[in-house]
Amino acid sequence: MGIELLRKRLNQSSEAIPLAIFRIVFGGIMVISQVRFLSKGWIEDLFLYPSFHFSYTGFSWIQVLPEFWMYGLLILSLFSALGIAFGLWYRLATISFFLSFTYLELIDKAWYLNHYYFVSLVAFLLIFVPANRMWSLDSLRSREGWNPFVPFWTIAILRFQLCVVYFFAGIAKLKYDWLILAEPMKTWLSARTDFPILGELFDEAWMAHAFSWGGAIYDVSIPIFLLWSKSRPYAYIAVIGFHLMTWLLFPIGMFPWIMIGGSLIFLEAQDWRKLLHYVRLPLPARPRPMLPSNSIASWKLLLISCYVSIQLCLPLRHHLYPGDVLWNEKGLRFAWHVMVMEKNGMATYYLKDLESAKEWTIYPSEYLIPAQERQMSFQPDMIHQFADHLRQLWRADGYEHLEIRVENRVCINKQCKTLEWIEDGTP
Amino acid sequence: MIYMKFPFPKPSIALFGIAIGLLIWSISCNSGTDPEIPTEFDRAVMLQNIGENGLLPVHVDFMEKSKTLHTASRTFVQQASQASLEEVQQAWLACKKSFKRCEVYNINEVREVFIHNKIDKWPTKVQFLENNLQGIDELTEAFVENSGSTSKGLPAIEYFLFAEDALASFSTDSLASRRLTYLVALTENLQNRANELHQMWENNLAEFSTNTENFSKGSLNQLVNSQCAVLEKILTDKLGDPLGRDTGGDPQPDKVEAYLSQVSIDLIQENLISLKASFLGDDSKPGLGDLLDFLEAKQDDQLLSSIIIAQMDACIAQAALVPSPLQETVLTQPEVVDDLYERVLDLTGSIKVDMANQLGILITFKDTDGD
Repeated sequence: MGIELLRKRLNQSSEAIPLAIFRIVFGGIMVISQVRFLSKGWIEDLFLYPSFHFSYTGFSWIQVLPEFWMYGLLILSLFSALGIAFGLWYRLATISFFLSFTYLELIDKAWYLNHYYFVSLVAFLLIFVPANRMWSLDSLRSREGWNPFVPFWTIAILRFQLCVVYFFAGIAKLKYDWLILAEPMKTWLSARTDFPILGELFDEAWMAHAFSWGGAIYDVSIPIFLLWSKSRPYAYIAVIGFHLMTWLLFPIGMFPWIMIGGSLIFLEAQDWRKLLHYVRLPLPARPRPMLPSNSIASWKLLLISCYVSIQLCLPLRHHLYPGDVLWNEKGLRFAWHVMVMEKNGMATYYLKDLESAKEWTIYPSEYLIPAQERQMSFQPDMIHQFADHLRQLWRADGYEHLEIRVENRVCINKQCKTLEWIEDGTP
Repeated sequence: MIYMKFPFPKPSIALFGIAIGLLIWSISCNSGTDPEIPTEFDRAVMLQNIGENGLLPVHVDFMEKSKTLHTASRTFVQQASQASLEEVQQAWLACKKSFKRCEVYNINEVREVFIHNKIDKWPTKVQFLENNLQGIDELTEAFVENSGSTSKGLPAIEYFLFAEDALASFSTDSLASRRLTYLVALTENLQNRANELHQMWENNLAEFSTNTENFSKGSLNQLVNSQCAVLEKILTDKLGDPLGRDTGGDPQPDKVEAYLSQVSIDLIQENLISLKASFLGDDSKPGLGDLLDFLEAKQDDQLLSSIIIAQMDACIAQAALVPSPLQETVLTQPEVVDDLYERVLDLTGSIKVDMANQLGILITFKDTDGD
């Protein structure tokens, strides 16, 4: 009975306004993001210049393309984002944006960012969501004009995705370092005493605690307040305030804007009507409700359930591995561990040919660009991957029996250790 | 009815209360601070100290030393003798050492315009210099200015001054006259670049002192990155390569920094001394060490600042124990050089990892995103 109710609710007609606004805003932010990427010369710096890339397991076939095609890929994603924003050839635009953006993201682990992953997920969902039913060039071109209704699941799945980001980002902060030591917030704030007005207080311990606890409480609770109609307007103001603050304080690129824009999906059509009424902008009158819809098709429900289950399980998978996820980083990616640590490292590789007893000391900066080296130096799987790369290089020179020892100095939130890795990367 | 209006059950209110209690407890746990540690720290004062007492004096000194070198080279041109050659060699040595103290300040605009490369890019391209010498171009300062970084600056001057038969090459060789002209043009260009570098810092010192932001362009971020760059250069190019650390243990003595003048180890020492100065500034005023102390940065119950200063001193002391010239020592006593390498490696780890972690420094000069 409960399942049947859920099936009906998911397929119930909902006003398409939130979805249309989400599409426009998301597409617009992605256009800005890709223009920014282009203007900073990151295709050159991050993809073309490095001679080695840290590929993802199972995705080593994703390689850097020749310069022309790399720029082509970025420009394709840019125009696809424009297509999404304007709702033009929407299905094609969402597919090409998802593929081009995700291809760029999967080239090198060193460039993994939680918000890039979030963008890929949203782009993937948009492929299946009819966000072009209104306020789109597609709907203007079609004979039927725009359709003000969409099935509720199409909005719910995007809200779910936002909730997953916030909730798991909050859960990841419920740690001794974050709550009791107020780290890394203490480190970050004390480095920003230049910040106007509040900066003077950033050296105070209570301020770091207030920010830490405030951040954790915000992340865990904001989905509830955004979903609850009475608190929604205040919650959205909090979203703006919170993310603007993070934008001003930390170098986190487009993340704040993506979350501010993305959270608009929580606003209902009537919220928009009220809001636009204040600024005297017209919004279409509430359409006549459609007839009660049928239950969602079983295959659709199954696919949605699979997606939801994966999204709920992936961030928890690190519990399956022994040890502290912040140190071993097993299951850290794709799990919304957003800004939970200040981590630095340095890895020095000692190679020994067991046949000739020749020894080499390899300082990774001679092979990697600084940003790659920085990321590699504290991420164990990348340290191991780079050792494999060195082994291949040496093998090509005829050294088959190579022992590789890595000395790895790592600090997390002011706690430092020197680790030693031998051969297979086990500390 | 309350539950109908408010979506949270009573247990969550209790949990919230516990959370607030924990917050107060955690703050009170951290409130016991050392009475000797000041309650406030002005980063701008620290940067001003490093700028005025570390950065600016070394650039003034380099400017003066480059002027002396140019004057000495002009004197040498008028009367090429063993005495005047030695005088210009000494002036070059003083100038080179002086520049080694500037290297740690290769940051911001100075870094962006690659002026350090124009002054001291090594190894110099000997073939380019010889081609120029044997060519027909007029060897003026303008010609040098238009040349690439590997055929001008301190290493190019070293090539002419410290050649095996230097005096003969400047006096009796068929190209002696042209070589003298080239030498003067090179020293003049160096002097101009030194003046330009000094002027840049005169103009930018105020910005350096006040740019306390912590993003990649912030002064502290830039300085710590540059400290790491100097140490890594010592590890890879100045010690690692000559020791043969990248050739399977086969020493490469010809890879030392100043092969002809044989002062490589002195130059490393100058690098290390200036690194310490960039850490402390004027010791009586707030420096990086004081900032670390203010942040109560410790490793194994020892102040991190003390650990770093001790490591710097150990590196400087070990460098003093390495017999000169380095190109011979890597062959005869590599273990002494290895010791220095290991000490520099330890110091690099402390600055690049421990200190950067305490200060929230991003180890990259470039703009990047995070989350």
